[in-house]
Amino acid sequence: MLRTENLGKKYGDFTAVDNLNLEVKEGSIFGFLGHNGAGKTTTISMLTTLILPISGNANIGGYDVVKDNLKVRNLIGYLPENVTLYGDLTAVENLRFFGKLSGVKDVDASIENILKLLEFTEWKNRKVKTYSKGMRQRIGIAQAILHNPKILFLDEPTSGLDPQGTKELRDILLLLNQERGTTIFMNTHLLSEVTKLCTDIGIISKGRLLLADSIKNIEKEFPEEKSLEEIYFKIEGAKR
Amino acid sequence: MIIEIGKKEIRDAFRNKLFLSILAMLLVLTVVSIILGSYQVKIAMDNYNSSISFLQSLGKAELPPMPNLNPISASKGFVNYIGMVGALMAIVLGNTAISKEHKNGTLRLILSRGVFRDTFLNGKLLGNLAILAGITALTGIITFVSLIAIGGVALTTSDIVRLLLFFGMTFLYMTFFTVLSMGIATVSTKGSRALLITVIVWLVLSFVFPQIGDTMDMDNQIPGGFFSSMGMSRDQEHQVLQQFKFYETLRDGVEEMSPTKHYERISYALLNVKPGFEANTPWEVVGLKWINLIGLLAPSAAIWLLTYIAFLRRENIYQSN
Amino acid sequence: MNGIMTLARKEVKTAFRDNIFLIIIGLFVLLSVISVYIGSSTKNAELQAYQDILHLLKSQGATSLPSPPAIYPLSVLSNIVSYVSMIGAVVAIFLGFESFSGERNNGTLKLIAARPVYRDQIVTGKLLGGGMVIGVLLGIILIFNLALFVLVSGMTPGINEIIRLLSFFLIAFIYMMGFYAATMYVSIKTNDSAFGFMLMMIIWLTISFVLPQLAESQRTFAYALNATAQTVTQVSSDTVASKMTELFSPAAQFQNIGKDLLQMIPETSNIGLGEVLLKQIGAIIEILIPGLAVLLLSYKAAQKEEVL
Ligand SMILES: Nc1ncnc2c1ncn2[C@@H]1O[C@H](COP(=O)(O)OP(=O)(O)OP(=O)(O)O)[C@@H](O)[C@H]1O
Ligand SMILES: [Mg+2]
Repeated sequence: MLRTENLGKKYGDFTAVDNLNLEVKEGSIFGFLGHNGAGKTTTISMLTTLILPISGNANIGGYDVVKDNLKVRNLIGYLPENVTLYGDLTAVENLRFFGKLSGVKDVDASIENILKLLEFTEWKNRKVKTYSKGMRQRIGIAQAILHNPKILFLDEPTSGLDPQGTKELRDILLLLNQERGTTIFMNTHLLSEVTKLCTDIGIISKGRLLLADSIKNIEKEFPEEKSLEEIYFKIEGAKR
Repeated sequence: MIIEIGKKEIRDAFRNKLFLSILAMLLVLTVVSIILGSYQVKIAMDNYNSSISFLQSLGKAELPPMPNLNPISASKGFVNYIGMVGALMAIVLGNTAISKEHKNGTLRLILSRGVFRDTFLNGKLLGNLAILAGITALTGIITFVSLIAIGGVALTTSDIVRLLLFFGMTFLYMTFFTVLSMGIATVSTKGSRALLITVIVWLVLSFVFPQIGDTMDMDNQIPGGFFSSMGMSRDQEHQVLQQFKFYETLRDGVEEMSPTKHYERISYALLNVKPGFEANTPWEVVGLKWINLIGLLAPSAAIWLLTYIAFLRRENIYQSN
Repeated sequence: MNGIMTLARKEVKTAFRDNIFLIIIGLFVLLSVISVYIGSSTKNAELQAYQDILHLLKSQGATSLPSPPAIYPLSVLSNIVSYVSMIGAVVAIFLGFESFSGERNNGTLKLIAARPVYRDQIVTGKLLGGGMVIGVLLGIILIFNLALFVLVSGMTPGINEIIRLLSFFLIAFIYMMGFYAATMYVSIKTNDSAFGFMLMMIIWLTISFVLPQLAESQRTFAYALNATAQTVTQVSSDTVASKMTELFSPAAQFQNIGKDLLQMIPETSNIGLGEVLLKQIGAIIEILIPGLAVLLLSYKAAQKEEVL
């Protein structure tokens, strides 16, 4: 589904992402772990065609993110960090706008579908600025999956949510993954999230990939460590 | 404590790019308008002197009297610039004073340090008024220096007092807009919205009302002036205008709502730009134009009082936005 | 193309949902209507005053009476020129100052950029949306003005007047779009929307107030000089320096065009539209060029990745 080869990005002299080689299989839920400033958002931005890599390449569903960027954009759904949407528009109006931009055929019908799936029909005609953070995040997910993307990119989707909101979001993502077969690529620094949700993980530190594998394999590789947290700190510590 | 807060305001203002750029613009305009004005005075002066010597060379004993040069009217252009640019600068100053605390979330920090709310607000006002006073003084100095150096005239005591009073009015005028923008920023919960609202109020007060007054002025409607195109004298004009008393009152009423107009009126009277006040002492002019002085002072006082009450009573002050 | 329309429609929708923007356009529309009303009643008062003057002069035994004031139909609407050049420009600034910085803060700019639209389409969409809003506003004002004109003055505008009025509104549209494009450019370049807004307000103040004022004082200065040298007997209204100063002010140019089109200058009140436009061609170009320049800059700036 997704593959990168020596993908790199620099800001001036500063290397934010360095020779990144990743592979994400179709139907998996990939957790991309790393400390603050590790390069997670930069990686996602390159994959979602928002910024250009300085070296290497990446392709999604067989399309190159630089050369075929418009085709890639049709395949992906994206929810960046801290999105507040258009506060003066209602949820439905927000969704209709983004749906049309993606060229969704019957926008209103797919909005209905998705709002039902997310159990949101009750509030759909209220202005978004009156929503709680959790509600807004749900509409954020809704806009990302409106055009039925093959792969969904989420940047720290649970940041700022309470435990209840976090659980609800997790359930939604699992549902999407199982019912629609959507591949999910998720940035996070919350280890607990990863264990509950992901099938595969990658760990990035200071722009370099430290490890990428399925959770099952990792557990086999580190038999003594009881939790993912211990594994994480062991790897991070070893490389520092 | 008040002094500390005030000092911080002054330091902050001189790091504020917007404020600095408007200030720079204002100073440039001041210099340009004063220099042009001073040259005008000098030319009139030279003109008189040369005609005197010409007459003397002809052997005439009866020399024309020295014309009224009125050097202080050199500040006329300055009135217009302060009216607009000065007001905008005052708005930036007042708005950032409050909105920066909202933005950085420092309001909460400061108030939790045991500073009383009134001390906080007073300190902010004091600091910003000190800045305005400094700017007024600076422009005043520029005016005096260039009048004497370029214009080459000796100012009479009355001229000096008139100029000083004029700069006092300038300070009061800018104070109004600083108080206004601080007030709106304090009452509103969102800093950026407050700025927009203040700008709208400013537009209405400084552009719209005077403009409406202007349109209602019959004399303005025909190029060259309606009454002169009719070949009318001042007296006759007066006689005709008597018939339109109500209309004129309405026009006056609209203009009375604008601090910019008040500032302009009292300044023009002080600077002898508007004829009819040459014979009065400076203080008599202020006495005659007391309504304009009130028009500059009262709104500031009222707004400050309201701001005070709102700020002391407000519960949701900690909400940062 | 579809994407551009979707973007433009969203601009229109969000603009009319924004309370502050509604206040400022309410002010704009209201003022232009009031000003026309005042303008026409002042004209009526003038005509009345003329009658009074005749009476007065006759009673004083004067023999030569002044001819009635020349009032051209469109000059009743003439106040609209200063309102569009002042408040109209501010409306454009209010409309555009968050066009990019606001979306950047909402995170919506990334959402748009991750969809199958090109970056330049985003700029085009916003330009089109802003154009639609400004067009609607000017349309409302035009209709109100025409209605008031007929109601208050009792005259029906002829084809020549209507053509002049329409051309004036077209130029007003271009003028406001210039400000909108400039504001959009500033909004692309800065993250701090309050800063961008105030920056544009300073530019506005300079263009529509400070520069014309400077030109004005230059004129009086030159007049004083000439009077001294006694080279000229009449008032010299234009000097090279004042012309130069006005050259930097699209607002002054706009007002010049407006005065000609709306019959405020007796000399140009009866000449054909083509002649007026030809006379003012320089001014028209001067309104167009800065707008086009900032638009090009916007397209260029929108391609950079820092936009997001
Ligand atoms: N536009 C930019 N210009 C310069 N440096 C940048 C830019 N964007 C990111 N960086 C730097 O690149 C590095 C990686 O940033 P990135 O946002 O990808 O980290 P992250 O893993 O998402 O961190 P976080 O968990 O804080 O979101 C950081 O050191 C950051 O300072
Ligand atoms: Mg990040």
